[in-house]
Amino acid sequence: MALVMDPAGHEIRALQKAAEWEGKRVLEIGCGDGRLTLRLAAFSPKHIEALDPDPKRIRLARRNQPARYARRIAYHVGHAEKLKYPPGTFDTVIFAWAL
Amino acid sequence: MVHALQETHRVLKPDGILIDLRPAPAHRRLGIGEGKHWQFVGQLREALDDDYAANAAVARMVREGYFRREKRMRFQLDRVMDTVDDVRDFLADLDPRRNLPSHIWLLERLERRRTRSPKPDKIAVRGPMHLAVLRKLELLPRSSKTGEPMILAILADASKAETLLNNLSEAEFDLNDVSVIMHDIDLRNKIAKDAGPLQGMKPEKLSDALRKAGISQDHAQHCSDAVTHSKVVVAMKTDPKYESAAREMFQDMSAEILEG
Repeated sequence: MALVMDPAGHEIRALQKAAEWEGKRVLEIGCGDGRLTLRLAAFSPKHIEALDPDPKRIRLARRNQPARYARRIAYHVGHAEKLKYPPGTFDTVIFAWAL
Repeated sequence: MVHALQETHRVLKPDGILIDLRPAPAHRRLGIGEGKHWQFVGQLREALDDDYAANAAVARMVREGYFRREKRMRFQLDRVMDTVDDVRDFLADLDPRRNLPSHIWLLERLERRRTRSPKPDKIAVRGPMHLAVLRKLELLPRSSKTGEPMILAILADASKAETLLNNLSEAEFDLNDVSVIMHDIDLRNKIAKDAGPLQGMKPEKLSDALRKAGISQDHAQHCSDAVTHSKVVVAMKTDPKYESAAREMFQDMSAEILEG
């Protein structure tokens, strides 16, 4: 399907304004195929853990991941109701179309 | 949703932020053309129940003191597609999540409008997005009986505790919501009744009981040690609306308030 999301860039501009991203540890819940993850990675966070419950989407996200972000982004199959991280791990958590 | 938000609260650092990004509860509109040249064709009839449920879950977390709202933004988001088949695929993808009724009427209307156009315009689905920034707040300890937040504090001696109870009573707080734990049970019974979130608590079992209520081991042990050394532990169930007023009264008595 030929689909272009947000060609005007409103979404990413709003996210940039919403928070300080540089050097932060970020958890993205509902990353899907990584569309938004890659945009967030451009804000220079220290690391992004990106979760989605759908293994197919996670496989796609891993395939789409540019080599330059290989250490900055880690994609995992996971559910928001059961996060496998210790308390106090992240500076920012984003529910990306997932709540 | 509430459980997911509670998990989020757990994995956030103190003072961390939660960003809630999702479509606003409004029907999306479909049109032809892009940007300023976009022309309305019809409105989607997706169910909005999930959006309202998400709003309610976030509101509950704010009300219960997990997060504080810091920013809200609303902006428009377009999904631009080339063909009517693309729109059909988009609707099919949306269906399982949005309980979509048939939109054949909309696809037909779209076909007609595009046929009239000398060159096939792009198609854009347009809808408002909601972005909220929520700041993590430290939770008050919670009562193991009711799950409600409580103020947990240590006072220097029985006289301070008695003055605090008088002040709370004068301010029309219900003393049935207040527990006073002291080593000397007779003295405790003179100044307070056995009530509140720690009702029936024996001083020697305080540490274990507080641990079971989700209080950290350090805080629980600290309370237990304080009681052993003739200090007084006071626990008070609070309505979030009046929590700051109650806290002030504790602070007036130089109480050491323990955060969750």
